[in-house]
Amino acid sequence: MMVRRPALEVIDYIRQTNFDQLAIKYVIYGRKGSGKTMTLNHIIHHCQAAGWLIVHIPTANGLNLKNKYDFIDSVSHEGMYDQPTSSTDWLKQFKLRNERFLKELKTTEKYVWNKRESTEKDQPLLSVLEQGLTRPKNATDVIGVLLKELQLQSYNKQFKMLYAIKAVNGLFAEETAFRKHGGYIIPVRELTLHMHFRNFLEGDWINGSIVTTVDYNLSYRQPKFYYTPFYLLGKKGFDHMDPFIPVFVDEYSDKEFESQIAYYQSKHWIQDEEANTEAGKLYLKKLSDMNPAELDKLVSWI
Amino acid sequence: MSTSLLKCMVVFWCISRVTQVRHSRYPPTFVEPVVKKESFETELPFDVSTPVKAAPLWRTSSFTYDPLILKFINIIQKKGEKDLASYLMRKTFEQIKLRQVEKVNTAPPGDLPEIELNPKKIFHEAIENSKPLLGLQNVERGGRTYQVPTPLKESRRRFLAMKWLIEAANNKEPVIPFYQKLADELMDAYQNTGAVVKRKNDLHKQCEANRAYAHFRWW
Amino acid sequence: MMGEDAENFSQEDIDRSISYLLPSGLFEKKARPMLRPPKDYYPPQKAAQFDNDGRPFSFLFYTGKPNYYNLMHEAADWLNKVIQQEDALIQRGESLDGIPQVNLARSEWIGKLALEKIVIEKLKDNEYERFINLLERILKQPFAIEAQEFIMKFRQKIEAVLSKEVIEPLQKDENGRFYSRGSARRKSSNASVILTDGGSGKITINGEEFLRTFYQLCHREDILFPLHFANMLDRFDIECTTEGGGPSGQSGAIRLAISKALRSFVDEEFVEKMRQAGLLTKDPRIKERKKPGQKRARKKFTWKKR
Repeated sequence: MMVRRPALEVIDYIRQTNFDQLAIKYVIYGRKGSGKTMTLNHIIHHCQAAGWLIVHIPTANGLNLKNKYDFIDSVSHEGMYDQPTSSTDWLKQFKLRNERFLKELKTTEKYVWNKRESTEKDQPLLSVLEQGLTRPKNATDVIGVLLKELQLQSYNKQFKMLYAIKAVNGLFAEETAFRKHGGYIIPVRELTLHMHFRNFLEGDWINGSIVTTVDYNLSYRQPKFYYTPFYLLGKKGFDHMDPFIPVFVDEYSDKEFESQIAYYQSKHWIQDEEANTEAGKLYLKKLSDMNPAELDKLVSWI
Repeated sequence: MSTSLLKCMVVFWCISRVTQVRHSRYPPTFVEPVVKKESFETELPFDVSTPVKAAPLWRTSSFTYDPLILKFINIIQKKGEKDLASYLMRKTFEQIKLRQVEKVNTAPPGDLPEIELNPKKIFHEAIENSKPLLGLQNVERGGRTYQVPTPLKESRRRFLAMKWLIEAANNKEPVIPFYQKLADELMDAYQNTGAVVKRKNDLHKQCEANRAYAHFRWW
Repeated sequence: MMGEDAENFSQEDIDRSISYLLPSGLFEKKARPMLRPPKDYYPPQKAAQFDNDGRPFSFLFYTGKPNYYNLMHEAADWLNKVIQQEDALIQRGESLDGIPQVNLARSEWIGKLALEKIVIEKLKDNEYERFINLLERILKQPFAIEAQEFIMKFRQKIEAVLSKEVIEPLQKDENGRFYSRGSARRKSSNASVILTDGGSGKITINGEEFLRTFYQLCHREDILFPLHFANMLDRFDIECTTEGGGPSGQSGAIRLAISKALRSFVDEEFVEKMRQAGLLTKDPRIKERKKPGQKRARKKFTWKKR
């Protein structure tokens, strides 16, 4: 798939960063369907190929919306709520991606999970993760512990880390879709999972980068069409994320459009004869208004 | 000016066949528009004095307009949700294309010209293959109801083909998305296999079996 | 005053000055106001239907509508004549090819009111319909040309639909670019559009982007239809303002407005082509009214057996 200019820019910056400094935050923004997630995926792919440790939230907006019955009273934090199923799913993905790192890195202190289970000091982080998978009740705490450990150990310069979040405005939203019996709506600030992710986002670690996108897709109760970071993050989020490097992903330019159409044609995806003519291409251009997602939808018809 | 005003008054008062078309906001003299650019190449389709209706939504001069596909979308849709129905149609076409492109990519070099990649052509072929030629009509004679084979109008044949395809897709497992099931059905019908073509052939066999009653038909 | 001697003003002088100041043609026969003949003001009346003894002149008097039924008889006579001719031809063994046909181009049947005027009787809808159907039946016969003179009395000429349309000329804006305007309505929306030449095909609706305002594909296709038909997709910059209604109404209104504005950029032949593609007709369809005794326009209340 076409790697566009914003992705190449960010990859270039990442290559040139001074890893002794605190992790730099990048915020990718753009209109719906303009290619923010693709940019993020290209960056993740590059870092994974370079052997980095990837901490990836597939969509922070979705954490507020999906699995809306998946909450329990938090084990370690009073007055807050954990999310066992979402946390275990996340841990599974994390394990698949970064297993080799987790085997090498060791815990720095002892963690007591409950009366019978605890993890000693200097145990591989993999055992902490396994604890989370076997005991879903502790899964969110396990995530918190893992992130804290990774934060501390980044100073050892053994590995480079990429923190990739899609739709980071979900972490700074107000409401969620979670409702308790009796109608109480759980706000975002009372969810431990979000809290852990936010603390990690503060960037008190070196040897890595933080790349995020802001998206109004799947956002809960936010009016659509405003795509700027200031609007979507809100005041709190903006203060939290500040300073960051904004990366704007625009819709296709003429050249990019042509190359995308050529790509579709080479993969036999555009079948209509008239669509392959100049007039047909112009029509597709105007109909999709140069939006990548819209072009994709159009082309699946023909 | 006065004659047109009189005509308008006539339109709103009268309900006869000559002056008013039932349930239509257009007077009876208006004709359906011709949207394709090719029809205008040699000469104009209508006379300069024939009034023409406005082209409705979805009917444009572009290559994305296909009346058969629009009809199919209308039959898929429920409760007026055209958006959802057209989304399902789009996903169905995407599925068909995915499968065919996969076949092309995995096939050895000799097979390439045989695999049809255009989803519209596959769709048209599938509908053609599922159209029944004859139908059965109930006729009561002397207290017994006979199934009489009868020729069907083109619009009825087309409708039955589309309806059977959708019913066959709906009768499969509910877990699989509808568009995947519909894509399965269309691919099968394109290859003259599958539930819909079987249903058509069964109908034909029954018509053949009831050939003796064909003389009960008076229409 | 006016060079006259005020003290020695005689009667002759008075007559002279009156005829000068108030030249009155009132006394002239030719200066009388011209009225139209009385038949133009008063509706036509039927002639006397029966004589002094009360005996009616026409055998159809007791139908109540003698003129109408007379006409029907006349038409039926023509039909029979025309059929007889065809029968004669068949008996002679000749073929039915080569018979000239009646030219009905650019004409349509006169309306019911016009027929009422001819017949000087009030007609019902089905009577009018019956008469027209009879004439149509005559027209279907091969020898209909024999009855052409009779039939043409009941056909009126229609003009080209676009003959009365006035297409505005192009204007130049401050940058020297040609532009034209168009405005239209559909359902409960209205739209006004400015097409500026020398653009890149950019469309702005109420200041918003094209893709955001019309989420559904069909509405975007609708708006691009006239431009695609004219092969001018990337020639104009379009600014639209719309109000009222929903996406279908707004996109239909914008389409009609663009078509109207496009007429100024294009020759007459192409305007006729656009009309026949359905781009220049206002869509008269509106939301159907709710009827009493029904829940909505078509939906009925629950049917209860008892």
